[in-house]
Amino acid sequence: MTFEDELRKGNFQVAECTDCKKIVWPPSDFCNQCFQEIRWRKCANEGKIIEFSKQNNNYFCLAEFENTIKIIGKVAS
Amino acid sequence: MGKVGIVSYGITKFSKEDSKIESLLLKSTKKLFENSPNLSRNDIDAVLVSTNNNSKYLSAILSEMSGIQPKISHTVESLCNSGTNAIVSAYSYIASGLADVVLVSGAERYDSPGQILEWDNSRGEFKHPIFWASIFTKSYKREFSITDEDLAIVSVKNHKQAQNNPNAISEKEYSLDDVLNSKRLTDDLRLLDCSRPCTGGASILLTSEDFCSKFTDDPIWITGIGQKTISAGFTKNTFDYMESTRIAASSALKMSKHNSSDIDVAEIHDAFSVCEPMALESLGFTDKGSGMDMVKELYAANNFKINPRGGLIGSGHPLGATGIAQTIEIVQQLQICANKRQVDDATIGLVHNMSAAATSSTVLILEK
Ligand SMILES: [Zn+2]
Repeated sequence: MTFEDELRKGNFQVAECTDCKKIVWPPSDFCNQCFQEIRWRKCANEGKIIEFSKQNNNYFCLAEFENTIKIIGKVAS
Repeated sequence: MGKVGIVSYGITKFSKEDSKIESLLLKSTKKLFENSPNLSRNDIDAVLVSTNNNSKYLSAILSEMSGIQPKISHTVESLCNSGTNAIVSAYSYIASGLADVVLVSGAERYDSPGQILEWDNSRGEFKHPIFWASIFTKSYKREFSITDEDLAIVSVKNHKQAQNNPNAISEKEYSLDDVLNSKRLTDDLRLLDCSRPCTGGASILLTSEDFCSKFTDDPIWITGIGQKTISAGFTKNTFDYMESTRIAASSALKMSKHNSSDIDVAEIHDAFSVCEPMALESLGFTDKGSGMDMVKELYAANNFKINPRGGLIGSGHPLGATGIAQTIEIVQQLQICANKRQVDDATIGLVHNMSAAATSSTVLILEK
C-alpha cells in the first residue's frame, strides 16, 4: 500500500509510529523521531482550514488535521 | 582559517533560449576566463557545478570542455539555492586547505525540473510553486493588512531596476496597473508577481588569500555565511515570514561581526512579489509587517539598495545560476563597477538565496 494509491481511492491515511505514536509527515517508511516501524491508519475526517486561495472557480486550501499535520487540497463545495 | 575571496566571474544573458546545459556552463566559464588574463587552467583545484538539470557528470564534462583537470569535481543541487550552496562548498574546500582556486559554474534551462518537488506529498496535487506562493501571499496580506496594490510595487520596482542590467530577461518597465491587470494565476497571484524560469549561466572564481593577488587587485571577501534548512515539505513551514532566512541571516551577520543596519546593498530572493517584503523582515532590515514600507520608500527615492540587478522578478530565475548571479551582482556593486545600477558607497553587501518556499536559506556577507 502506498499513500498515493490510497489517496487516489479517497482514503486519507497517515503513517503513525508504532513506538512513540507520533504522526510521520509527509509520509515516510520509518518514524522520523525514533526510526521505529510505522503503521498506516485513517486520518481524522475533520480538519481546520488554515489558509485558502482560489484558481479559476476552484478553491484550494492549507488544512490542518489532528492539530498536527498540514496539507494543501481542494475545497469541494 | 584563512580568508576566501572572489576574484573573477562570467555571466550570460538570461533568456528563453533553447540551449544545452553543457553549452550554458561553458559559455559563462569562457567569459570568466576572458575576465581573468592571469588564470591558467592548471591553477584550478576544484570545479563545482550548480544545477537542477538531470544530466550526469556535468562537472567533469565542463572541466573537459574547458581543458581543466581538477582535483575535486562534482555537482551541487539544492533546488533554487544550489548556487550559493556551491559557493559555500567552494569556500569550505578553500578554508580547509583542500583547494586554493575553485571555479563554481551554475546553469539552468527554462524547462528545469527543479521547479517541482515531487516528493512533497503535503502539497497534494498543488505542487507547482504558484500554490505555495498564493498561500504565502494570502497569509502575509491577512496578517499585516497588505493589499495586492502594495505588493505590485515590488514587481514595478524590480522590473524598473532590471532595465539597467544588460543580462536581465526583462526588457521593459511595467506600471502598477500593468502588474495588477496581468494574467490572474490565482486570486492572490498575478503573472507579473512571479519570477520567470529561464535559461542562463553564471560562473565565479574563488581563491585563498594567498592566491587572490594573482588574479585581481580588488578581491571581494566572503566574511559571513549562514545556512538553515527547516524541512523539505512546504507545510512544516511558517507562512508569513521566513524562519530559515531569519536563522541564516543571524549566523551570517554574527560570523561577519556586522548588523543588518551595516549592509549597504543586498540581493534578495524575490521568487514572487511577497517574498521581498517577507525576506526584508526575516533578514532584519525592518520590523515584521514593515517590509512593504521599506520597498515603497526605496522605490520612491529611486534607491537601488535592494535587488539592484532587478532581483529574480526582473532578471529571470535560472535556478542553478541564480545564487551565483546574485553574488556576482554584489561583487560588482562592491567593486563600484555596476554602472547605472551602482549603489552609493557600497562596502558591505548581502546575498539571500532560498529554496522551496524558504524551507532552506543561504545568506552570504561580502566585503571589500
Ligand atoms: Zn517514533
